[in-house]
Amino acid sequence: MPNTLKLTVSHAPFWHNGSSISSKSRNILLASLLAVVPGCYQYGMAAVGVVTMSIASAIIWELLINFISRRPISVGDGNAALIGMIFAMMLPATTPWWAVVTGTFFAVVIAKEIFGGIGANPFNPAVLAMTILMLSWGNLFDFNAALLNYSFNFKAVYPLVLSKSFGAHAVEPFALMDLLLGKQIGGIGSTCGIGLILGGVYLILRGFIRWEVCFSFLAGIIIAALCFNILNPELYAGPGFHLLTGYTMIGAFFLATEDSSSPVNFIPMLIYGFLGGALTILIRNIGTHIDGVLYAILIINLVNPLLDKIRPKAIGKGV
Amino acid sequence: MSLKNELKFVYVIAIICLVIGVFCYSSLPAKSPEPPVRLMFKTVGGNVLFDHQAHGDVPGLACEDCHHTYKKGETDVPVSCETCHKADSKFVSALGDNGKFDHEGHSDDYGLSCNDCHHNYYEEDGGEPQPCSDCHEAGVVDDYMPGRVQAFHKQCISCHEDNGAAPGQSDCESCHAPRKTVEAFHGQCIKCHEDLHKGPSGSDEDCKKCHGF
Repeated sequence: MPNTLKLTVSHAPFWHNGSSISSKSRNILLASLLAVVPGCYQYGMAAVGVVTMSIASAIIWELLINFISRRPISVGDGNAALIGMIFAMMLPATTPWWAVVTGTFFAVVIAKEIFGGIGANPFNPAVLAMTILMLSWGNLFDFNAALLNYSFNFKAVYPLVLSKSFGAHAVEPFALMDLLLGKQIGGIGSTCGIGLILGGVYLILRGFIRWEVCFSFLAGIIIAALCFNILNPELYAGPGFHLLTGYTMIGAFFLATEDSSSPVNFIPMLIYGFLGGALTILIRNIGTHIDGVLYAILIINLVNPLLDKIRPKAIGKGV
Repeated sequence: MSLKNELKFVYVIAIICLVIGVFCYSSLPAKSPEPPVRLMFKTVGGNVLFDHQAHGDVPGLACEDCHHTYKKGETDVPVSCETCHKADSKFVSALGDNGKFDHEGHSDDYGLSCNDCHHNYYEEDGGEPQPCSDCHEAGVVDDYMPGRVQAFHKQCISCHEDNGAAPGQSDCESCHAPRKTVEAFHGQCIKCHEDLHKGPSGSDEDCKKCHGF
């Protein structure tokens, strides 16, 4: 006797379970606060200014494009505010206001609305905007130069610059626990590893992001970094260092997991994440850029539609 | 939350964020602390992050030791890093007699007198020369005076070519790529230290002896 699967389907009316895009946006915003609040504490009111300006300008850009294109007002879903928040998390606290406003324009108008709005963007809007800004005004995002006026009780050098320029032994003074607790310079909401992990785990448990993408991204980082480290331990830092520096954690939990630009099936999600992690290490170790997370995510966003061609077999037989 | 309330909620958030953002940017502008915490020097060998605060905390090191004409509330041009950070005053690999600076070329071929560079020239010791950047200005190139980049480039590349050693003029990436520039300049400095067994060496893990991190 063949093993049959019984599917129970009920009739209408159906009861909405209360989930909505706005609820998802609110939850991701709340989770991001776990990393943003320590960042604001570290950099003071300058960081608060960047974060609030980014959120406000992202909402205003979406509102404006709604009016111009005569489409229904969509800012209520909170997605624009979320893009503003994620974008601000990657910025240094000294970012000038015009760069924040330009960045949110690229994120909301160019990377999202032009493609048709929420769900239609092929790239993560915040990542695309950040990349455009970094290529256009690279000196603004040199964290060593941007944060010259801050006095910290830890080594105030961007760890990835040290590893890129002087090899693995130059980053030995960075204790992994310190990096995890955010004792490093970087983006406002990108350095507090513990906050990003807690926020990410909360989102995974609530089902707002997929664990497959996060964990395979981190696995890609670990395996690729380990290979380089084994190959030449003097030149290439170990996986622990790469996990806790740069945009790795925000990339794994907040950037690579964006709905529209990531796959929906199990195997594609694993490949997508792993590829992102491995590419990050390739760019960091043998590429010309200091951090590879943003470029790696843009590349996996690009291959996302191809990966989603790997689908499970449909139940039943085709006629 | 209904759609109407969601919209109102976002409007309120946008207004609050805008007010706080404008307040932070307009009322709390970033001020450079005095004295500075850290400084970024842009050099031909790459950016150098100078920890001013750490130098200020060194016991026995007074402001006047670097800022020779220092007066409180005023700034002046400090002495160069090399004044303190050198392996031995007789051996300056980049610019000394045994180094790569073409002294003969400057004095004979370009018709410069000693005083053109050594403003306080003495027969006995020659006197300290002026910095190269006094003549070779950044971004200024003409038929008679190479710009700063061209001058420093010539300083490196001519030696590579004279010895038939890579890289040559067509092999830009051998120097101008991540780590490569650092390796070239690092080799130039560290060789002297190793020959003299003084200061940091290639095996010394204390990078901050030179790089101030």
